[in-house]
Amino acid sequence: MTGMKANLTSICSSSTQAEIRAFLGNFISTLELSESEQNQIILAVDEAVANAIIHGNDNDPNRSITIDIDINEKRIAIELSDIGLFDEVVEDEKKEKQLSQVIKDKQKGGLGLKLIYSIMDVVCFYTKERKSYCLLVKMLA
Amino acid sequence: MEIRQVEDGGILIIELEGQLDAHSSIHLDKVIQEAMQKGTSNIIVCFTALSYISSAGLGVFVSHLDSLKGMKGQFVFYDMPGHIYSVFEILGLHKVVAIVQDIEEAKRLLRDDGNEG
Repeated sequence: MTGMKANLTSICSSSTQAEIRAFLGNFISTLELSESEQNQIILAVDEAVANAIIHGNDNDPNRSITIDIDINEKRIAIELSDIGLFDEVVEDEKKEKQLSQVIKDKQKGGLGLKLIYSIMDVVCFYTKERKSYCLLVKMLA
Repeated sequence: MEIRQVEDGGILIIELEGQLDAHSSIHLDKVIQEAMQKGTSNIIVCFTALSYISSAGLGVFVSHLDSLKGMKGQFVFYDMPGHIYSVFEILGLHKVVAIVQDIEEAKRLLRDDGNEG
């Protein structure tokens, strides 16, 4: 299989997430993955996109994020850029909170990061030249 | 996404169709909240036609679990596609919510749990 690369820039509105999932799904579907595996990768990216749109960019349609996809036979790498501000301490707390506590606290949020970290093999948030990024990598069997 | 609802003997039955994400989960939350405000504590949800669920959709259900329990009720989900069930498994939600095959089994579960008091 030869490598594939693509990118998409989207305004920061949760109404665009379905389109982003469809865009990603078109590439993921070319790989030899089960429906569940494909869905999980799309889900992890969707969660990172939602995080960037809602928390990082305040659902501001005047801002945009870019999604770069790089696929080869060994891994899928997705980099989101312009993801806005992220607080590592808060994100770590959300990731580590037990499901029982989330239920007890009647929380609607807090599950997205758990999904991202459970599904992807590499999750990395970083800043470079005043821009913030999220890199997600899934190794292929 | 489409949400259809019908009341059957005090039980709210919700059918989901499409994709449940951050955008569409707001509507589902409103449906559940309104039902609970009217005193409905047993809610059956049909997943047959649901093609996608994100943490926002899962969060709607999770946020009401404890309250329904306090009302002596619960959610029962049925006919869940495999790729949706695998997401529940990742979070451990398959252990805290009843997930069954069909609506008859869902109603039977609620009846049996109601009899146990």
